Amino acid sequence: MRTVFLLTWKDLRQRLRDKSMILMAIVAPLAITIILTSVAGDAFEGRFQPSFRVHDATGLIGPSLVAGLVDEAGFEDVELVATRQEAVAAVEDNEASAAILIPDGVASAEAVSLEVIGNAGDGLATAVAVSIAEALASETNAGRLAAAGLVAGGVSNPAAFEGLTAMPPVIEIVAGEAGSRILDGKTYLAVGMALFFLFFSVQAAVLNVIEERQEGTLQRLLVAPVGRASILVGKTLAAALTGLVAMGVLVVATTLMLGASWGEVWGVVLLSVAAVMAAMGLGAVLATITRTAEQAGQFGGIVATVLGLLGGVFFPIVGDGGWLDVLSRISPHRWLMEGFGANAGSGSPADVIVPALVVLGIGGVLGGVALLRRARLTGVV
Amino acid sequence: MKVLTIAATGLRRFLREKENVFFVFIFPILIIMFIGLQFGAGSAPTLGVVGSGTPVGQVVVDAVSSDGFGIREYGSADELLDAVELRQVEAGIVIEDTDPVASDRPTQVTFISREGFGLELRSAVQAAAVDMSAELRAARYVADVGGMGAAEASALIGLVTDHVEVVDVAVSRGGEPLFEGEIEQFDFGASSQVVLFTFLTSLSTSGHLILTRKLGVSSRMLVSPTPVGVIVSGETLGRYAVALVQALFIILATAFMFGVDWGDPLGSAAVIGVFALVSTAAGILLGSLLQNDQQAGGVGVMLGIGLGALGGSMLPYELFPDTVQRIARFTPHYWALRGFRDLLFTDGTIADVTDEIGVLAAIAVGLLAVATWAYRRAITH
Repeated sequence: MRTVFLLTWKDLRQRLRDKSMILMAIVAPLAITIILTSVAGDAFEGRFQPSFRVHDATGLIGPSLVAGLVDEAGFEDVELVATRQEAVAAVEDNEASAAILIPDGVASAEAVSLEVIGNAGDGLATAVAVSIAEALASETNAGRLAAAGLVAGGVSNPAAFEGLTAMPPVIEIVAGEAGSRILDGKTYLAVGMALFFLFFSVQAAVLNVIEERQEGTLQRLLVAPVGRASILVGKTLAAALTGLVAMGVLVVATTLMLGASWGEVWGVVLLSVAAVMAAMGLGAVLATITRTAEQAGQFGGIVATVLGLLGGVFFPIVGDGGWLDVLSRISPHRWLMEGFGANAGSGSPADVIVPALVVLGIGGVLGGVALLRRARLTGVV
Repeated sequence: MKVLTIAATGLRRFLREKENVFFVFIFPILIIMFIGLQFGAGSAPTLGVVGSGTPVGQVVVDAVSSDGFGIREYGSADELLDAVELRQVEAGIVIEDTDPVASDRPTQVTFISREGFGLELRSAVQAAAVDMSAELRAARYVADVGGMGAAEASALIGLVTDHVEVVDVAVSRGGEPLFEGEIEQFDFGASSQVVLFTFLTSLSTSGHLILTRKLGVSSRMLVSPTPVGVIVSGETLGRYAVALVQALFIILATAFMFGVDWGDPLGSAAVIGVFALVSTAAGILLGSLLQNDQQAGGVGVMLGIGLGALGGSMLPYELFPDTVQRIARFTPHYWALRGFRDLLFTDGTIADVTDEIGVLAAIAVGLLAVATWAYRRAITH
């Protein structure tokens, strides 16, 4: 047992002294996350906040329209302006996403057009402004239709006509509650980069055995009175600890520095352990199929990059059942991103545990394959 | 002549490594494909629907899909909630199965979205509901106050519809578009990635120069009757060739595979030619300042991704917060991308991008002077 710890300790010390390991495991993911977060700003959040200017020539509809847009739709920048020119100028100067202009004729029974002037750079906001105007037009048209209907039906009771401005709705849209099981912008970057680089650093730690074989230090260990199992366990432990420490540092650093929200601690620990296991399994298989450290590093880099890309650490993979969605399931990163999303958001414990088990399974299978081929791992056994 | 030999040897040694081939040629194409697939044309938000067969559902679904949004049907509200929380759809609606005119209360449409998201879909659903409800509301109102049956009231409204003047919506555009001209699905990604990867590869492979020193290639060249200037020029030329080959490959591959239009050939060639020189100089500087090739790889990846993101090659710089946009001007990426904006999106020619080429050329000359001085120092000291 002592030998195992001694070996683990030796490996860990070596790793701490190795500047490139610290660079890859901690500095690089942290620096990239910080830069990307500052660059993305609000754009990454995907929240839709258009700015509208409303001018109402009738003076009757505007205030309630604006109030509705602010209070019910949740748009923060909606303003009722005094003149038509003011509204148009705001759009021309790129200060507003769209202007909604209500002409005088709306209050009478004329055929008129509500105008929407959309900013050329903001198609989405323009579309929303158009829907708002259409809703308003429909409201007016309903009143006009009902009035004509009442007349045609021979109803002359004045109270019936007074009620036209407050006809009850026939369709009511109510808001349903939904949580979120995907990561918010900042946390997405933090988790994605942490996982991406984790696979590199853990792999490098595992592949260290090839370096030792090349430099002859592994052979020296093998002739010493140390069990092969101790060597394997000691080195495995060191690689696992390297990954877990890196992950821990990144979780704490991104939480404190960027306000990333990783969610429940148990979930973070479970998913991190699973991630480290999968990375180790991958590293171990690589160690058994490559000859030199350079070759292993190169091949490992490619595999980790492709799996990361496919797993959505750079760009989210949409779970729409398309071929990319299905293909991405072979990547442990994909399951991990999903698990971390559920853990940080409104997922149930099962939404965290199932992905973690899948990733542990991937790690187990890969580790098993490596064990079967362990003769190659130590080279001499 | 010796300059060319040194350059060719450098290029050959570089291309012999599988990892380099992957990251120079295959990875950028994979990324461009991913970005095109995930964010390209036709990626309007999708609305999940439960109850699309109901009277209200049919109309809402038709209206929302004709607004250009996607529609996906779900069997139950629980399934829909899952899909919304996992962002398989941006938002969803559950529609009650009632007849809106005959029923004595409004038909409920429950709109489900993650907090703050799906506002544009909500507007579309709302507009569709209000649009269809003009006649329905009038009919129900007339039935209520006129004391007639739902069928009779509906018939009455049907009769008057053609004679009532209605309010409609007219749409026009003002202001400046964020991106001018036609942008095809892969165009944006292609120009950003060419800039990102040309720079990234030059930096991340700067360890190559360190290996050249470590392995004694430089010292052997120095003892031969070869002036230091020739060695430095040769290495620079070799690395410039790598950058150019990669850029050219990405340009040709995207043009043929994804139909990306690279605009004025002369203009694009000039921008990428000068930008590749900036990248080369940055790579040589890094390779001369650092002593450990693995560290150079890590620092290179970090700087390459960091500066790339800051310069707008991951997210369009138009979307950055203002202060970050000002900082972006200090990266060569920004100037190259600004040039490509003119060349690709507004069909500019080389005459339109002389400013950008000028700035890049100034950076290239300055950086190259420092880099060759540092490299000369590194191999002679």
